[in-house]
Amino acid sequence: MKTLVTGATGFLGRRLVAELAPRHALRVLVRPRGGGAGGRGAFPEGVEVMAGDVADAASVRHAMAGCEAVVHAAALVKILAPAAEFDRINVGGLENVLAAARAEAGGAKVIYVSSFMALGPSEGGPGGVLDESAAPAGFGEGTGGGGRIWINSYERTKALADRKARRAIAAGQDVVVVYPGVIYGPGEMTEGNLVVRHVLDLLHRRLPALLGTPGRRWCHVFVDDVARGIGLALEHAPPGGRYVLGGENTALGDFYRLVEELSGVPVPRRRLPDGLATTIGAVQKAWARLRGTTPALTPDLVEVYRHDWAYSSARAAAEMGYTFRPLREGLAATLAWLQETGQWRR
Amino acid sequence: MHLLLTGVGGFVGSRLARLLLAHGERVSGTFFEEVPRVPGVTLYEADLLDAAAMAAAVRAAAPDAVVHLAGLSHVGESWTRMAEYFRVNVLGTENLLAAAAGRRVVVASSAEVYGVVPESEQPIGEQQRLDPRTPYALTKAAAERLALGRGAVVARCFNLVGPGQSTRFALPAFAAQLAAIARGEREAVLRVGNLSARRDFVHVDDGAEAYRLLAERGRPGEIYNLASGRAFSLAEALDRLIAIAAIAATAASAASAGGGVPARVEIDPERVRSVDLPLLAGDATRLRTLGWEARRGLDEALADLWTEASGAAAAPGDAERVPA
Repeated sequence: MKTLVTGATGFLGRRLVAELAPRHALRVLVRPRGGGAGGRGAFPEGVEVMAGDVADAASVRHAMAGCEAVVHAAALVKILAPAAEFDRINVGGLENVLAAARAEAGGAKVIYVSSFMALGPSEGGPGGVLDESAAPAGFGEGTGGGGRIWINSYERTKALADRKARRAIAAGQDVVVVYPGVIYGPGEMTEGNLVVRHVLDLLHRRLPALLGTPGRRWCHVFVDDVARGIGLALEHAPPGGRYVLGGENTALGDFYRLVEELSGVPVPRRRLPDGLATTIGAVQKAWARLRGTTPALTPDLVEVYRHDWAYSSARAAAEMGYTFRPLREGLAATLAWLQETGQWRR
Repeated sequence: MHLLLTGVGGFVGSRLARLLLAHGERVSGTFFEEVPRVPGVTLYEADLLDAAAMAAAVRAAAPDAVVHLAGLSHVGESWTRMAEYFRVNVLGTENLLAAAAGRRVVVASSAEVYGVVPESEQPIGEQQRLDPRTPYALTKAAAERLALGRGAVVARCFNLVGPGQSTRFALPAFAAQLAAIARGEREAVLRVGNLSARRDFVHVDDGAEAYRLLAERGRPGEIYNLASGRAFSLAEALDRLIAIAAIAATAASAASAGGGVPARVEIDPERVRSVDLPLLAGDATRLRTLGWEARRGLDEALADLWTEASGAAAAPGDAERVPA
């Protein structure tokens, strides 16, 4: 199927293109110069590249011309960026993709890559686990108000974009939404690969103490499982289908123990108290803003670690045959890759 | 007609792509590492030095013709990066020719291959004996022979000039310096190299028209000069550029002080090239038989350079939007 992929140079995007290229005629939309392709390995043979930007409606329309489907995986995944940028790219980008898909003769199928974050923290769900039926309400950002407040611009804009996707489905557009869990694995070390960046910090003993409550459960999912799940959605999902593409729900404490067992590197026993972490995060954030760098810790990242992000992929398994590998297997593969690429020496 | 351009993000490639898209043609291109800013062009990632990747790109694009513009193009630099120039310009061209075997191909060459030609034999015709004097000219002469051997069309380009050209080249560099002077960012002194060299300047958009014609109608195995037939010294060109800048500045700054752009011209030994061919003017009779003519003069090219350098218009390709 002639398919456009956005976000193709990202952490998930690179693996996604590799997964889809053998079975589909791919076209990728890539920002020109400074946009990201930057020589970090060529796209597979025969992949068409179009210069453009998801935030630029005309370039999206142009790239979509003649495509039967689009996998929209582009998003701003950053620890620190202006709020308006998140809106422009994460919400505006989806609107542009939806409009361009509608403009195609017969309408192009849209596979929208959302995020577990669009479903909200799971501690309130049955058994502390949520699925596709969740629809969080939130408002504000950072301060004030009653009810739940969005943790950061990423959560807010992914939730807003998810509403837009659901509205498009309700209006009859051929849209499928997938909600990957917390993605980890080999690939581009972008800010989207938060987990492996964190694991590297542990392996290099750069962390004096652990972040987060050991009992909090996260839905860690291996990047190639998500890529395969998106392929299944592209090939098998009915219009309007929405699927969590998760992995094993694992307590943070168990995750750290597994890193220690597989790597042989002892992880810190001490835990950084949330209050202190928030303070350090605030200082780092202010410092990074001044210097234009990326902070390792921010108050909203601390907030992310205070929640459960556990989800069930049962629907994707039942309807599309989605499977995921155990965390142990995925982590072992990731550690092997870190060694092979010289990022870590055992 | 569907054309595949190598070097589509470059000076000539981006103008040619724009011209073709404006005519409603399909345009594909190859790129390496950096995605070029060429909206509307379908791109394939392939290194010229990777024969298999080039073959795959040509196969995937399946164009009616290929125009080979990619390459290293700075005469001065070819002395210091000689190996790279030979690899990219000669071996790279061979890879492209092999990848495009069986298709129409136009290969961009350069008037530099003629070398020193007596004034009595100018403007130079295509039959002129080649006398390449620089590594760059040698790579182009070699690439030409490989191309002709495979039945490609060769375009011997005289000095293309216009917006989008790197400021490593003389006229865009002058325009950039003048613009900085006009903005009050530097003292009113222009630093230049040897200005006695006389060159045959062709507006890049006329060059793009020529490539389009050659891709459509060029005779396989034939060489075509891409030239205006007139030569101007760099000193003359600079005088005209200063005049254009002064007129523009006067028109723009009736209110503001500053008093225009006129600048003192100083010879900067660092900018004087090691080998300079005193005169290069080409006879493009053969190309004109295909219906081509140089429609834009040097002044138009200089005015466009000034417009770009002074920021009166966005850099080409920059804020451009795709024809939807």
